[in-house]
Amino acid sequence: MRRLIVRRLISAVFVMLIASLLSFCLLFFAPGNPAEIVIRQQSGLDPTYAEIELFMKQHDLDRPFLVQCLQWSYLLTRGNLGVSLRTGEPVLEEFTARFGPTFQLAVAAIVLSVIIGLPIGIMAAAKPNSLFDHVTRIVALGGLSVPEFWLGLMLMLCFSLALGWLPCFGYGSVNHLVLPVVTLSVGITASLARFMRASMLEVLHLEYIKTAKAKGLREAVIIWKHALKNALTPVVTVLGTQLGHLLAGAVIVETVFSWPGIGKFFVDSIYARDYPVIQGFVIITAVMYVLVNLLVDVLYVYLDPRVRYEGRGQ
Amino acid sequence: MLLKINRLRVYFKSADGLVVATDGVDLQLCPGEILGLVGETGSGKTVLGLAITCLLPKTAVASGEVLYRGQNLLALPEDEMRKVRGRQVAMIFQNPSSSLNPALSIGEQIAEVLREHRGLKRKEARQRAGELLELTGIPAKWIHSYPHELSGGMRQRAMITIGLACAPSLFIADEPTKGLDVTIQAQVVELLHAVTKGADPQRSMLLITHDLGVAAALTDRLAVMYAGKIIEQGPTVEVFRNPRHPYTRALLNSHPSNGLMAVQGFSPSLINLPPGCSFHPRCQKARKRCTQDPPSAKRMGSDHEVRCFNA
Repeated sequence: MRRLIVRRLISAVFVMLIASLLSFCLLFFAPGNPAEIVIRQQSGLDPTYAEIELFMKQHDLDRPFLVQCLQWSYLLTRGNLGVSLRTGEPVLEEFTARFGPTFQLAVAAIVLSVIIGLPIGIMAAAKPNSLFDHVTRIVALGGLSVPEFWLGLMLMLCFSLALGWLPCFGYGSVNHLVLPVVTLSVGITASLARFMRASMLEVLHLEYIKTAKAKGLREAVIIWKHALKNALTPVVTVLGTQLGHLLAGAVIVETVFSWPGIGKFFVDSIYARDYPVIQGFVIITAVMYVLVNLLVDVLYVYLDPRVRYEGRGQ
Repeated sequence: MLLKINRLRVYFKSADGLVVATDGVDLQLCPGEILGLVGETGSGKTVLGLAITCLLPKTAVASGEVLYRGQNLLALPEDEMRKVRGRQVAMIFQNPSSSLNPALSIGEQIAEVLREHRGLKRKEARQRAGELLELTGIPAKWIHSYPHELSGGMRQRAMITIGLACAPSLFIADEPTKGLDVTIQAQVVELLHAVTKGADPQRSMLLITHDLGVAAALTDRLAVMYAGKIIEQGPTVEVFRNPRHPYTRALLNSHPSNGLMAVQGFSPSLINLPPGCSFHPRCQKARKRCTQDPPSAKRMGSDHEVRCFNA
């Protein structure tokens, strides 16, 4: 187990290196000059050539590609992600200030989706083509098709404007969390339920399920123990990807509900060509993806003993 | 009589028509008897085993009677049947690699049967599972190992342990030696003998196999199946020494020790069975009557039955 984690962490370093290099290249060669955009934003006027020149010199943007790249990498190794061109604040601070709300939203949405989606998928697979199966299939299809911005607005209209039960937008109490989490969860719940059902159906046709039946076990034991433990492996993979996505910021939902998360800030930074912020966020997002995947791997080991064996054998 | 099967017919509805897997099967099994069910692949052996345990797929339709101690299992509600399975009638399947759950330890897969049917507590069940493993030749400390950590032979031993955990009166083994090395096969045969005749003289076994050597080594009586029908049955010694049905003879001749003579032709499609005796297109002694009427069971001696006009 420890070996597995160490191996994954070592490979994570390479993943991050490649991710940062790629993002650096893409940004460097992308059209648009940050100096121009940032100055226009700050002063409201079209910048002069001299102003642009000065801005680029101040922020080392006039150096050659390789120098900039190495400079940034050097700072990175010391834990310095640079300073935002737009706000003048350190990138790491900008990130940590916004990560809390994003984290809350992501974890709450995933937990809610798992609690609702998995049992629905399991029960639908237990009785395929039953009324329950058909109804949940149609509802799930709806859930997958509804665009988040529309759903968010409808929920606002219904639960805050018409009924007045929940706040319309903003961040703070648990009440504020409800609508954005529900909006995010609908799609994830639907896809998890569908995925769980498919995976479960596949397992239920396998030989060892027949053995379990021949042993005279209850249907509940066969489904929730024998089949589920095997069927969860692919679902956990999807779950990890979903969580990774959410931790990188749910842009649409954050925008609709004025949620102070990293998603919206990230998109604004892209518009402003705020290089340090974009690069910093890419790196941090890569780290989170790696950590989530590590979590998924650890779960694999618990679910499928064969994984443990492979780890030991190598 | 422990098990009495009367006119068992199992068919599947498919897009191409009815697939009749077993047709008018009559079979009897006394306490302590080992009955071998032999035949080619697709002759309906496994379906017969599944019908006894009521584990047929939902697409199958079964009629007739499967009387276990006088009780018709086919008519039993699912919840009652569940209590029979594993406790009184246990069945193990071919290919232990895919028949054992890869995510659960061997010990757990044995212990859960004991908890379900014997009402043992978690700890007692574990303890007992270890003892049972020892009995089938697996060290008790392997209780925590997973199926992939065992060899093919060990997996089959574990399967047999699961099947016998609650000491069932009837043990159905479907191709227990298939896919194993010859030396391992011999060990499994030995083990099967030990857990039936050796451990409990009252325990019966239905051994489904296509391996005549295994059948000869283990069984008291033999039933030969062809295209869903039992075409010959009798004491194993008698059937081997004096086979009456041309198919049985052909099957015995196909055994390597008898010259490896393949049975002529192919086994028929179960959707379009030939009229009359299903075997007549492959039979060298077929007469006109064989192509018209299905032969009924004919008694040859006290306990030997054949479905053939020429016998």
